[in-house]
Amino acid sequence: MKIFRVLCGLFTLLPIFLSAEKPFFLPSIREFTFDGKVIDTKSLKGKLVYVQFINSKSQDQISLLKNIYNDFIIEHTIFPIIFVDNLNIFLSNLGNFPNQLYIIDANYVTYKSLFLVPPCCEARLLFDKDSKLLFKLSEFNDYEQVIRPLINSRLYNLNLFSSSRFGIEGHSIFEFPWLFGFINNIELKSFRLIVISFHTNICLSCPSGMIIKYLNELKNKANDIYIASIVSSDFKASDIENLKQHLNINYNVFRDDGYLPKNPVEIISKNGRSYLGNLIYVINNSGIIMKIFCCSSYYIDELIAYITKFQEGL
Amino acid sequence: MFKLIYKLPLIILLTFFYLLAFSNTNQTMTESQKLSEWKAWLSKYPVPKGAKRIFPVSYFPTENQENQGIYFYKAYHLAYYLENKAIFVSDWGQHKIFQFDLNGNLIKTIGKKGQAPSEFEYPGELFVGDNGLLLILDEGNHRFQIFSYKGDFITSFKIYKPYFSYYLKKDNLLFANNTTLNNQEPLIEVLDLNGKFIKGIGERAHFPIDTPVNNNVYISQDKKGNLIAVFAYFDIVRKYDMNGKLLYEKLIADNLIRDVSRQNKKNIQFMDGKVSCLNVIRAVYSKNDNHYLLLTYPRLAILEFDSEFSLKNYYYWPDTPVSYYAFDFFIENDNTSTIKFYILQTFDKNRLEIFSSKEGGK
Repeated sequence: MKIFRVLCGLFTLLPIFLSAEKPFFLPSIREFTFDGKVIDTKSLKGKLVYVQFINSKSQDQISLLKNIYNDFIIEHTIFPIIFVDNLNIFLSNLGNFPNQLYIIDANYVTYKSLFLVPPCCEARLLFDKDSKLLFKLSEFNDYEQVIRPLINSRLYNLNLFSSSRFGIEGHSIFEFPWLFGFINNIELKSFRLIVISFHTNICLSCPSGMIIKYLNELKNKANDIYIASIVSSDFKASDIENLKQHLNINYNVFRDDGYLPKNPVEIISKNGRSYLGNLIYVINNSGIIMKIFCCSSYYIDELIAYITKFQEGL
Repeated sequence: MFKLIYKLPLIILLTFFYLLAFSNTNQTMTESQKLSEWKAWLSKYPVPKGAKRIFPVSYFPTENQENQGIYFYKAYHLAYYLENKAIFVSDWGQHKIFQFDLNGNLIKTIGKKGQAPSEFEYPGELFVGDNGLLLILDEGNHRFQIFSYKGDFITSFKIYKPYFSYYLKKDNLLFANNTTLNNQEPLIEVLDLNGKFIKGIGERAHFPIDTPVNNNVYISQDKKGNLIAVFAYFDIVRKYDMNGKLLYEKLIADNLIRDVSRQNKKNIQFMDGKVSCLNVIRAVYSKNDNHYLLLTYPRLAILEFDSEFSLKNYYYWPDTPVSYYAFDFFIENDNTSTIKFYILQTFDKNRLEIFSSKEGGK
């Protein structure tokens, strides 16, 4: 009977194992574009491949494509494959720059299912240089806030990608050794929770100052929480000493050349916000990233509420 | 009931017209109120006996320079290096520093928008020390950048506090005042050029209403190296010696500054991170043993005080328009007795205006 119960239990857990995400790779296709160019996805290894599905009802996506064209396609930084269901509507809205786009107007529905795009929706996908899917976004994601930073993250610095709030909650820090390498030296199990804040600028009257003030207070109250702040590479050693002195910081502050991009502000000013500054990662003692909080004071309140609940055992 | 329904459109129409008329009146009233208030201030605070008139001489960038692409977009602060007579102007909108000579000829520009050394994100206050070091508050990058007076980058350090004003002394010590609600902090922090806190000078004053700006002071220095701290919103001035000992605290003897100070003590407000109060002292400049305060409302005036902060001279421009703003200035004497006042106007024009103590004084 006991064995039967265990088997039943395991059977109940089966869907969880089945639903675990497997890496998705760029499907192998060979197709002609509307203007006679040949696309063979096997030959695209080593390139960042951007795939977008645009149907005739989502014409606003065509204007968004212009942004992507201006930011990334015109300089050949990504290889763009665009699937459209209605070529005429697409071309009449597109304007004068389709030369570098690879537009496929055949078998729209088939290709949608091949790229695992639900029938209800359109999507945009980015594959890395090994043809592995980096992200799949719906047509509703904001260009400035989400799409551009995500594409940038792959262009400028691999690590920027993980700095984004999107996509790594629920993952293990060990998947991102270049970001959380310093945690290897910490005995995770000796803490109940790990809170790491990342900053590119810090000032007392800004959200960064509020975060640090809160983390300082938390450090004084909770010995079972490991706290650290990571600052970007433009902080000198003396800047970190001054930071600790001026803000009376009583926990670890690291400067990480390897983990944060060299010129975050420059990248942001050129390519849009990437949610790089003032990110707070809350990690459990198995190394799973439980929650990522962003930069505004709203998120700080959320962070405080989250940690308070955790401390209360809720 | 029927009568009421019948009258309803009329009531709505009348209400609409009333609101329209009221809102228009309100708007006109605001403008005219502004003008009459300004006139009232002009008559309530006449220039003192013996006040000296100043005369506009020239300004730059000129229209000619603007046509060549030399213009200010949002220039608020300037610094003057006496040794080589160089004027530095920070432009918050163009993220760069202009260097001019006294005649307004552009010598060079420093920087562009960015995060690297010599690049700026909203450069704010700047200061040239007697040692020729040019210190620039790079607000957006939360750091100070230090250059030689020739514009060569030397070093930078990160800052973590919202500094209101600062002063660089010859011995490479930086004296900085920061905006905070914490009255336990010193009035002035002494930092080295790596940003390391060395010591604090002075205690913060207590006021009936606590706001973070109460203890904002303009810092300056007299000939002996003593520090002068002029409170931005109150009529208080303090002098500290080089060891931080308070030499005096005085009330500034000017009716306008005194009345504004009284009003601020009663009415200064701090809500939702914003401070509401009156500010008439726009900037402080010290030369030899004289200290100058810049006022722009209700008229452009430069008050000259001696080392004990007694009023020596009152310079004013009688033709000041109602909306005249300036946040920085300096004074230059040529070999004659003519004094030149270089005033960085920020509204309604954005340009550096030169006034002379003598009519036709060029």
